[in-house]
Amino acid sequence: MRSAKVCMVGAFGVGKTSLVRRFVHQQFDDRYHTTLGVKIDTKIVDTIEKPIKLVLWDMEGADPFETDKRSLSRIQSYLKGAHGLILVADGTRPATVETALGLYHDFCRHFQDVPAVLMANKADLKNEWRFDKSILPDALVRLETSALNDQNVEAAFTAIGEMLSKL
Amino acid sequence: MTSEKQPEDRRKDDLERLQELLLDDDRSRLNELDQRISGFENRVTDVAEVLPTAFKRIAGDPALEAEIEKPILRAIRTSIKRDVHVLAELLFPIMGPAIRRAVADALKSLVQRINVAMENSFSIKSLRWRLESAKSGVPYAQVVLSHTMRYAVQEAFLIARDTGLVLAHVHRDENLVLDEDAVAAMLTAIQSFIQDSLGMGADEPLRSAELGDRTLWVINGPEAILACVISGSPPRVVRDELMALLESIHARYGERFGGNNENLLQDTGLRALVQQSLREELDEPHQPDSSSKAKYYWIAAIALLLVLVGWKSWQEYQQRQFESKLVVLFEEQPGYVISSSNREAGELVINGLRDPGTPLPGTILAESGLTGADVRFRLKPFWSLEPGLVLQRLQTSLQLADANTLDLQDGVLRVNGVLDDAQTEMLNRLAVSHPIIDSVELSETRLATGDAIQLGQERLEAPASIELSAGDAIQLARERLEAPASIELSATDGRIAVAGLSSIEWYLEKSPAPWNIGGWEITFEPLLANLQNQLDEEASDLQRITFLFTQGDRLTPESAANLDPFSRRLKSFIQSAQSLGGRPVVTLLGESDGTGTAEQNLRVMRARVKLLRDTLIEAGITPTRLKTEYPPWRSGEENRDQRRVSLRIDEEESP
Repeated sequence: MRSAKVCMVGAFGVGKTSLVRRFVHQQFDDRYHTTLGVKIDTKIVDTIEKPIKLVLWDMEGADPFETDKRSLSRIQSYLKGAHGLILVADGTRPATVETALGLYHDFCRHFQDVPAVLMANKADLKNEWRFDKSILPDALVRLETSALNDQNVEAAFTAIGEMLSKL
Repeated sequence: MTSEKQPEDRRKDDLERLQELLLDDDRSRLNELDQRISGFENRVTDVAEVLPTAFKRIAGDPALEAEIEKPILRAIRTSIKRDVHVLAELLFPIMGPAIRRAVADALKSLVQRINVAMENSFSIKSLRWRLESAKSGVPYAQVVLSHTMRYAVQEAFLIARDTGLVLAHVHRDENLVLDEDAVAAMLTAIQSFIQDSLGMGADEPLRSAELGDRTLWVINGPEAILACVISGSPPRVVRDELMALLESIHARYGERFGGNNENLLQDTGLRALVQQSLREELDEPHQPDSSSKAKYYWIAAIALLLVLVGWKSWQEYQQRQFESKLVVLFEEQPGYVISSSNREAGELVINGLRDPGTPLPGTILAESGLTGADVRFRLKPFWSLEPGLVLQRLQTSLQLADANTLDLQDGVLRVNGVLDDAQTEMLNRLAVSHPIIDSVELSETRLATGDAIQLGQERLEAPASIELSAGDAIQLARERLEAPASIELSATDGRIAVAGLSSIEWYLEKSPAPWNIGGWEITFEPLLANLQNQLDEEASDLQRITFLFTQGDRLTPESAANLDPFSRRLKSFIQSAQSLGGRPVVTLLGESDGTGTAEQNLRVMRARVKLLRDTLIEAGITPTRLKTEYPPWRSGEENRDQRRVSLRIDEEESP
């Protein structure tokens, strides 16, 4: 079976770890744990063509405009060789959308274009969302997700799996 | 239009026409050449065509080589300055093996010397392991393995350097269940984290990590890393070997590492290569040769030891056998008491007691055949009370005759035969004084006749007129004379006549003494007459012997054979006759046949007699006892029986 390296990137506290936890272990914990460095999990996704094993790199939160250079450099070293990206943003915090896009653009500048999916997380708090959808590139696949309610979580990971399986 | 042309244009047309006329076909070729020279692509094509040949030609030209070398070196320098990794990646598959080979060659001779030293020595450690094996019953090989397991690569991951995806995963433990992708990715992440956190560059990667009793080795290649989980303590050289393995993996699969890992995961060739990383090593790797040699040394040493021990034990056994045989021999010997035996300075010493009446130890040893060892006897004298020795001692001390027999049973000494007074008295005393003789039984003994008569006369207080009876006198005379059985004694008229036959020596010894036995005289005359008759018969026999000759003075073979026995017999006769007072004279009579002259015959007869006479004198007969005589010769027919010498024995008349 083919494996693919998929990196979860986004600002601090957007719910990257919760999404992975929900997807891989079907669990949710409302306590917040800061991720230091990176955590690895794997899950096999059934795509239309054939199954693909996603090696999920759940990385520490980062902000290309605020995070220190060393941390960014470390994140870049984690990103190296990624076959796909999952950009995670918190719908209640418009800045996190910009951070995710910034990270995406940075990646494309340093490495190459890879399939990417934007997960607009915390859809369970949608009434508090305040971000401008127009800033999102049309080409970017985006899904409104909620790790708490298990909304679109599997769909988002399957989407990236489908995209990777076609490569 | 043509008319309107300028004069200059007309000249050009004319010139062209002229050129066409003059050059014709060559003009088109010139045009082709022009296009070829002026077109850049054409020139490149032309140069590319001739370049290989040109390089071949300049290969032998040092000047041109130097010219080409300069720009190439400059280009390489520039490339290295711009990005050293490009060249490093290019050289990576080549440099590693080359460096390792150089180092390996240098080490090889050193290792060989060490091996030789190892082969020629007996390791105390291996002896200890053998003892442990013998004690515990665990096979030796297993004991060695338990002591010598040095390291084992338990698991190996081949991981794509950038993606952190597993390209191949091999392990010893078949039951191992883990998410290899997660492990590989985490490992890659950790490596990145450490590099980044510690501010180290990409060329300073994580090389190893300790995880409990396991060690993680990360072998870094340009496209992939080989992560090995190892138990034990691997030597540094293993890392070089793993590096070499990674290089060969790169050489074959490097180009495919960046893409889809699915095909690589299913590639059995790649898996087999990575499988080679699962190596293990014993603590003391031995060359097959050295181990087998060491084995042979051990076998030889043990065999030698066994032979030595066996030989020594055999010697010891033989020695002990000999000693015990020796001790038993003397313990069984009457008159010997063995108290102890020990070894002193390699010599067997036997301590004890010995009765002086027994044979000497050396004699006993010689008779038993137990010789060939150094034996010393430390024996003190004692008197043995063993019956055999007691009787032997009595026989000697009482001067008993062989005819006397002694027997000792249950403290009773029984004596047979004739005893004299002194012997009887001493024997009677034994019952009182001897430790093992309680009583002496003399009922089977009797006194010698003389003693008995004397004792009888004493006891009877008989007067001198009391005489012995004839029978007693004869018996007594036989005892006193120690007469042989051939002597006949008879008693008549107060005299005992000695008759029968004896040797002349016995007669000469006994006859001179005046004998009076219990008033009876002894006369030897009858015996003398018998002896003289015997001599007369011998003389008659001797006179019948003749010696025959062939012609001349040569004896016939029969006569020659008889000559020596005859000489001895005649000499004995003469001596015997002389000892009895006789004076025998032997006359040799020469005879011859009737042929020839008287003179011839006389000469022959003399020669024959001389031959015989000389022989007899040589045999020890006194010449005065010999005479010669020649009977008158008469001519006649040849008679061989007359070629002879005969003899005659006469008694010489007293002067």
